[in-house]
Amino acid sequence: MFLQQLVNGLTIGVIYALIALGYTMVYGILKMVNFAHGDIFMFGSFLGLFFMKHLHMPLYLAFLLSAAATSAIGVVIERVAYRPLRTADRIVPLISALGVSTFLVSLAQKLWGTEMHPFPTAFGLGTVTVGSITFSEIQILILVLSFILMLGLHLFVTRTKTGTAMRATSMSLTNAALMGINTNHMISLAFAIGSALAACAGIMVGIYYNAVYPTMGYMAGINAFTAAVLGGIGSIPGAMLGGILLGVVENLGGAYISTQYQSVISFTILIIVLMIRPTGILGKKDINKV
Amino acid sequence: MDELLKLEKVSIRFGGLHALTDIDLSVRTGEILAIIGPNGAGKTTLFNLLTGIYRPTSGTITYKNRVINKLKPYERVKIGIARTFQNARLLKNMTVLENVLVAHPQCNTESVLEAIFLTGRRRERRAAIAQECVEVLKAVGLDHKLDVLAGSLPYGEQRLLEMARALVTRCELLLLDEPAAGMNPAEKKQLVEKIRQLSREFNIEIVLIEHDIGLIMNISDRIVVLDHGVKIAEGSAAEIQQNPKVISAYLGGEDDWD
Amino acid sequence: MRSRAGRFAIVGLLILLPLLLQQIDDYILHIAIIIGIYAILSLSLNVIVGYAGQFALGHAAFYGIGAYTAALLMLHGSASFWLALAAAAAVTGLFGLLLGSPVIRLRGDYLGIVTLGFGEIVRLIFVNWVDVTRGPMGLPGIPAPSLFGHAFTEKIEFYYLILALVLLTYFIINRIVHSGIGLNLLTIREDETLAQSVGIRPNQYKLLAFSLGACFAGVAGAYWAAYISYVSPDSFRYLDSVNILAMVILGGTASLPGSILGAILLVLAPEILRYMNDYRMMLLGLAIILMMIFKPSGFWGEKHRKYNFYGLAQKGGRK
Repeated sequence: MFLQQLVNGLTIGVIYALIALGYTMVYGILKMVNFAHGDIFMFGSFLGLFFMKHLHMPLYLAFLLSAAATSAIGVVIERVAYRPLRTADRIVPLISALGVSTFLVSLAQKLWGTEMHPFPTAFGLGTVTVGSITFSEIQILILVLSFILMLGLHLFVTRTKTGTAMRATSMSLTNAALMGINTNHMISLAFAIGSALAACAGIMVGIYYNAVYPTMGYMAGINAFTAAVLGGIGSIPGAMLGGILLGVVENLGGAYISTQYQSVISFTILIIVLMIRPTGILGKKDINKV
Repeated sequence: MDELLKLEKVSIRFGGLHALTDIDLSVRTGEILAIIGPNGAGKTTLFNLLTGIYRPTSGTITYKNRVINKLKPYERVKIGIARTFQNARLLKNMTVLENVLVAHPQCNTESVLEAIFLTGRRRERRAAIAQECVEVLKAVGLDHKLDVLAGSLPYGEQRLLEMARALVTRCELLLLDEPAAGMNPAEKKQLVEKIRQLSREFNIEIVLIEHDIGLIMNISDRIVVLDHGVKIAEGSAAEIQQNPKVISAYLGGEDDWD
Repeated sequence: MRSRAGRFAIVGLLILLPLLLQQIDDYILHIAIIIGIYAILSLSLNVIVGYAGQFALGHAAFYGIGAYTAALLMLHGSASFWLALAAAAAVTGLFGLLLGSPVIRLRGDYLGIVTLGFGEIVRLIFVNWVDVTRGPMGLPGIPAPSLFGHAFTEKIEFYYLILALVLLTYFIINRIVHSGIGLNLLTIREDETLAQSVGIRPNQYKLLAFSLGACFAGVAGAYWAAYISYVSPDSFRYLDSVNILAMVILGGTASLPGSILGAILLVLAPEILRYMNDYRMMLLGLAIILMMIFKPSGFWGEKHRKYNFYGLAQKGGRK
């Protein structure tokens, strides 16, 4: 039973990780929490649903196209709603993000209504049993795909020139610019990758829970943010670790304590982390010069 | 002469960076102390330690015979330590008068009930508080610009406003961080006079950080020289000028010994 | 700000005009009442967001706590409206303190998410604590307020009540933000290190702002409970928090007339633009983004501030 819960937790955990990566990459460079990221996740989910249900595309194509489209949306949002505000007071881009979030949710509601939509089960309901643990096909898909995506990101960020440039930008925006890195491109890239990952996560959630609805971004967003903070905001491995940890803890908590107040568990974790060790597990201490 | 402020073996470290190491320093009543040193020597860090923005990693800071290492910045203001900043931190969208009001100890401790129930007596008290602020502004020469937005003041006047703000806290120890930065020679001369006058009029000890050596020689009773976080010399203007360690610390820098 | 005479004229108008409007259409009074409720909510949030500079997102939660507290006291405790009102204000203010304490040290972004989370959790409690709140079914049958034995039945009586509450709220908040406290809040907002350096204790004042804002939101909630005579979790969702924040933003942060303006705009707009109802929230979202890019201080923002803090007269007229 415990191991089963662990696996279930791992499944939701990697999904959190994918969304958390978007938060952490943007925060790493811009030092700003993209409030609308949860709603980008939601939009990716809806787009995937649209591609599969109305355009009858196979699952893998839905993943690709949704990731691409959502990626574009993320870049546009950054360009239109955040870039002009980079020099303003800290609170101004946050409010703008709120506006973006409101816009996305109401757009989704206009396009697809407010009810929950089921996701056409592209996968059979088959299961694989190993010992006392049962993996559903969907779980296997999620775990494998997420692992591939995270590994891909890790390799990109550590082994490629562009990826390293992105890391440099997140360490110091000004220094990176002085070194000849086009920081605007790096920022757009962070948004693009983060949104693409979120879209994949969105489709995974759609399949796993068989439900897609316009306000699904709120709780997922808060949870993913918690995961990012837990692992250390700004740190890519941190987001992965935080996501998995949160998923597991939340699932065990839900199973052994109560499912209704499950979100309270993750939220409590957020508060505790922010109060005791705000830099998270893998984060670095921020030194403020006066 | 009493020791108002004493630092004993004060050090502070930021991770691997040793910003200040084993600093021994004292400020005696009735003197103006200057802290000089090349850029990055740790002067502003020292001020931040004195005002409580940083805590020392080791050593003790004693003020009026009381160890104040653990006191928070706002508590230090209450015991009489005030400062100005290297980059004039003003409330740009508020007026000159408001910028000083903010620091007045009776203005920033108003209670909710006092605020809501504004009796005639309280109105009078507010007017008196405002008047005291005007007096301080008069002392630095800004009383003709009370309703001007702080952000639109010329740089030199912004520094003066900062000083007025520090003075209104009824401090006994005033830390000036590069008060002459951005001033032309004439203004600097006026500043020297002003600092001397204020120190006498308000009976405060002054510690200042400055790069203009001429100004330092003119105004300080004693000078402390820092380099790379360590005190390398201390003494009168004449003594410092001859000190070989000080000379070599400055060699290659762009400061001029006017 | 208008002169004394001007202010009296406006208040006079607010008192007399509805008597006229009542003859035309009761619905207009209802709109006016809703504007009044949101004016209080907007003013209260402005203290937290505009003056103290805290990006707090869960304001609807305070609104709800006030409403439920008042409702429960009136239904199960047979308290009078007035007692329930006072209790709601106190309890909600206390929650403001409670919810504010852990987040006080957090920076803008984090604060926003955490307060958003708090808002969600409070709503979850409203929905799930069925024993007390009856969950999604809500609490119906809340008695109307009564004054000197006469229970309110006419809309106009409710109107005068909310008018009185709005004026009271405005008066109190106005006095507070134009005092040393207000100066402290603004200083903390602009530059917390500076605030510390002049002797201000930032956490103390941020908490004050939270409790004050919560307290008045609780007042609005209590009124809501008595006016609609029914409370349910549906009135206190995240979207409602966003709505109130939008009123503060559009009207003008740190501007009391701005908050009133914001409330008027965002209550009237959907009424007037009925045919665009579907696109209402989308337009709101766009409006927020555009405001931030072009007019971040709102339509009646701080730049229009006409007199000094501390109640001192402006340019040239020093008392």
